[in-house]
Amino acid sequence: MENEDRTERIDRYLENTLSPAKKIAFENEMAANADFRLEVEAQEAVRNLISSQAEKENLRQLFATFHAEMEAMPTGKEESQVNEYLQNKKGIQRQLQWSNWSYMAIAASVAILIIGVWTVWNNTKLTGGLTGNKSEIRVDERNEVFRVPMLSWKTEGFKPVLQDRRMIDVTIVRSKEYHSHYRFTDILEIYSDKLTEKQQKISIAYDVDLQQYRLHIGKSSYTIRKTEQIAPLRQP
Amino acid sequence: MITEIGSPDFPLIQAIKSGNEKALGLFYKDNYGKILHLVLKNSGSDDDARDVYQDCMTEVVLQIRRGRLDQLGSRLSTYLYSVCYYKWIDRLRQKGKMMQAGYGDDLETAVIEEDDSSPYLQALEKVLGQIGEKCMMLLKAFYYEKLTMTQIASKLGFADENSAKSQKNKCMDKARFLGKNVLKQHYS
Repeated sequence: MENEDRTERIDRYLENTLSPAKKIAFENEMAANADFRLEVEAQEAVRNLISSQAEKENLRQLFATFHAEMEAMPTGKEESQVNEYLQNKKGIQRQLQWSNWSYMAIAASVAILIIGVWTVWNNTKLTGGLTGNKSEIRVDERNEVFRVPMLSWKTEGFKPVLQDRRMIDVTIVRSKEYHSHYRFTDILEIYSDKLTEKQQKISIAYDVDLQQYRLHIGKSSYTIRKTEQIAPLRQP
Repeated sequence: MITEIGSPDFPLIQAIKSGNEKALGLFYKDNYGKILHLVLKNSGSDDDARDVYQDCMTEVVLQIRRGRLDQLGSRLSTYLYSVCYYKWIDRLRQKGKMMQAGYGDDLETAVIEEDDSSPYLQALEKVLGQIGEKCMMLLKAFYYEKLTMTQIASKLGFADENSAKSQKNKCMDKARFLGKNVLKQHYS
């Protein structure tokens, strides 16, 4: 117990939160006891080192995300092809609104609006899935379809290391029955009345070690799993 | 060169300093190309370029956060390039390779040397590993993330805040003991 007090006492001295009397006593002890002085110095160094390591770890994580975003950027050529394609099909389609994603630099992809989102979902098997770059997703006007990055992370030592990055098709479904639910197969369906892609930044993180998917919507995050069923969105 | 108006990139530096991730992201993405080019031209790979870039970017961001580049006389991108350049030369040297002559002729910026690579800190970093991963996470949560003991208990799976606190103090006892020994060797 005495040692525990010692750690906290040194902390309070380093944070300058000791009372004046205790501070004087502390400094007298340091002056008289070289070993104690070394302990204070060591604790300060450990605190600084831990903070600086953590700060660097956080930066590395951030840079890994920037790097992944940078690599996911479309080339100019792809972009112009997409625009040309969109112009040809004007009237029945709208270009996905990437504006708030501009710095996320999402790989160019096109979603086509025609009729009834269920039509395609039910035909998934026939069309071979929806994940390819050229796949078309048919939705009605009430539903949004877009792509979000899915980053896979593995923890090595203390820092998360990016393993893989791919884009996942996501649609927001307005439903009478489900209001905060999801279904996650090749694509992710989010059932919500209010959510729109333009207002909230949406991304998926996959923890390779825990084999867990995390859905980030704005500042909230939810644990999700691959499922054919419609499941409620739960915060961990 | 210190001018009266301070750095030509003053707004950018202040944005990064205040934690603006969007500004930092743009700065990161805008400057990678030059470093990739430098490294690829000088016997490095894509991975080398990313590694060295993230290292020098870390260094520059930490310098910005500590206010050491508030009066930077050159463009921030020029400064970053210099830091990366010297870092890459160092790595080539360690591998026994040489930089192509003349490549850094246009470097005009003096680089601030960081002192956090002192032998004492390096030795401390090495021995600190001995306190174990869980202790490191605990100390990090307490001293860096500044979480409360209740938050730490729930995050790291302790029964309650008291057991988290007593474990935190034990971890610091261990770390302080290791640190003290390193200091003793350092002073002797």
